[in-house]
Amino acid sequence: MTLSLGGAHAPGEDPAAPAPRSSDADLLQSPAPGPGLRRYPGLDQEAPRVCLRESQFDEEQVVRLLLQELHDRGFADTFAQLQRESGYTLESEPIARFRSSILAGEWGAVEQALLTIGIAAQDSAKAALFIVKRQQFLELLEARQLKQALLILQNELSTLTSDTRQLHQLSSLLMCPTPEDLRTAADWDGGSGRSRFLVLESLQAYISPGKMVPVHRMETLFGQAIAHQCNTCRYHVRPATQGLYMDHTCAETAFPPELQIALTGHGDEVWYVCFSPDGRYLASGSRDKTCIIWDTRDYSIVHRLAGHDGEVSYLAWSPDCRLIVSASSDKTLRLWDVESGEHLQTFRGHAETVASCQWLGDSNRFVSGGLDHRIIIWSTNGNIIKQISSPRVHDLVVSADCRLLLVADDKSDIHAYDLTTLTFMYNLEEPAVVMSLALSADAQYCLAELRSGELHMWDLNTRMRIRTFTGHSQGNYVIRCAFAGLDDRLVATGSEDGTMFVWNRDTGRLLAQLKGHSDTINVCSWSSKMAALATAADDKTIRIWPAYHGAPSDNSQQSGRPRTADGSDVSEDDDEDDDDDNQSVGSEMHSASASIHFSN
Amino acid sequence: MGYMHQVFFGGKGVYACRDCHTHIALRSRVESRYTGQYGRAILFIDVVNVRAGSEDKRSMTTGVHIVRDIYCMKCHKYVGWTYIKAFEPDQRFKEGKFILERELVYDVTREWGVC
Repeated sequence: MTLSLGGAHAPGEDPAAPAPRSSDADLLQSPAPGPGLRRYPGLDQEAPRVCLRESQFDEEQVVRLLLQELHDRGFADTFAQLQRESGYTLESEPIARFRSSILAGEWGAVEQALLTIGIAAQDSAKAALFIVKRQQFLELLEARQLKQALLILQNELSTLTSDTRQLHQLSSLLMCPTPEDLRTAADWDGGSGRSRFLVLESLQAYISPGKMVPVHRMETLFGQAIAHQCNTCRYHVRPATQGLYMDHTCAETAFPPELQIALTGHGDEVWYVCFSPDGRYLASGSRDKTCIIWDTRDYSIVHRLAGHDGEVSYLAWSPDCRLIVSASSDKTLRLWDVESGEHLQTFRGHAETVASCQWLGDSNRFVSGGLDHRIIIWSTNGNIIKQISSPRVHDLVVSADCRLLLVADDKSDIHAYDLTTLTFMYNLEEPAVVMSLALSADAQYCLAELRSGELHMWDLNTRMRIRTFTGHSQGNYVIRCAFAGLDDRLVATGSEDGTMFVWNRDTGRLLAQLKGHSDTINVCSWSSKMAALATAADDKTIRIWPAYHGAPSDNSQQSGRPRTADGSDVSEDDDEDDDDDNQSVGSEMHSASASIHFSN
Repeated sequence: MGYMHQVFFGGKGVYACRDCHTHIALRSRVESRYTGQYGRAILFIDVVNVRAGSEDKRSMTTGVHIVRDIYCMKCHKYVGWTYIKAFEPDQRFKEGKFILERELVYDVTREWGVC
């Protein structure tokens, strides 16, 4: 007589005679303690367990992962019950003792256990023992038992490894005067910290995972599944928040064209636009020699920054979003306060157009490159911190950790500099002149827009060109490319026909061709906070493209139609209206406060 | 129009805008030299860093042509013109080429040594 587990039968299952699985026989011979059969109260016979579903995964592995999860989450009763019912245990006795000895610091027992557990290769056994002895050595040093520590170093650590550099580093730790010094010098958090747990984790690499299941294995597997869903997501502009019950997928079409918002306000071609790091503002620079700061909630104009004598070619937000630097063809850079719109500094030092500028991690220093063979690091108080001569800089990008500086020169090379010392490291050669560069946030990938109309992507770890994106049209005018989407998963660039091209970075598939502008798109900028792309074009407008309905940047619910910055609805040819608008708005220009001039 | 990518030449024989020193043409791209009604002029096969204005029908000593005036991309000063169409058959070779007025440009390497 067989009974199924739990309450209701599975649909389609014949309750009278479900076939017992072949693994039931294995259960009976299971080596682990405890019966594999369940005793139902009131029944004399033992009923075999009925599995409701065939699975491709080995039952022992699945059950032991479940046991680990139950154990970690503190369900002690269920843990014991599952061990009894399934016949599997999470860890055998020797392993459990091994684990507890490490966490308790009983090094003699640990050494013994390592021998009995069995580590396959000879040099692995040495490496494993080295890890244990190193922890013992450090703990003895921390307890100021220098003599015993020295004995371990001389007699045991030195025989276990041939890495003399590490031995020297360990012996230098003997000199540390206080335990705090020891901890900082060895990058170690002490015997009572997480270090013993970390030793256990590193020893896992030497013990077969069948004997000792890697820590939080089920959670690792879940994380991999979510990461895979994100990687294969076509658009990936929304974070994966759907939990474990459903697969993550971004909407069928990213950047729905009906959500676009057109901003007018500049009197001439808009050459640069970028969102602030916190997503609250958008800054734009134009051929009309002014910059505008827009509020991203309602796209109203917050400040108009006037003062440059030449067209504004580049803008950079400080990391704390309080300052903004503009670079211009009048050979200067200007620093502005975002809150007040006040002009704080003028930086004179370049002899030609300043092509590009980037902040260096803090909000005190930034680097600029010009067509005059100079790269200059400035301080916000106006002084030059460092200056080097370089190839003519057409564009420069800085990695997030401020270690890498990439420069596009006028001879179709990309130069990489170590930013900490401003020394040249290596070249990446392109077949045509590089017009603009973009760097991913993790500094792994770099984009180069070429004069020939191709967008090249480089892998900076291997220094190889791994992908080419084509389809957009490009001529003599600088079109700036950018990474977009979550985790820089998308690549976007403008085109001379006024459409915006968006590709999936990893598959190279063209995802969208956004139409709306009537002239060359010069630049695009993505904001994760606003989940939108901003583009600026020669038609004097800026357009905001929210990535999906309901994005923070999407305010189509309010007006129901794409609108302009001043609230009127957008129409097809705006050009005459724009000129009139700018005549009246021009009177609101903030006059520049007294700026500090340099003599060169 | 847009943010024009400024080209720089290396080596010798670089003609640049007299006002802002933006490079415009190379001596190796000279086809011929003239003295026309506007003064000395040089015919180049190609030039860089200039923007062209609108088309204009002009009659010159050599005949009627459709030309576009060209301006330095940096300072926007007039530097010469380019031939779009020539109506005289013997002038057709000029189509697509550029005239720079000798007074408005200068050989940057000859006057400064390097560019």
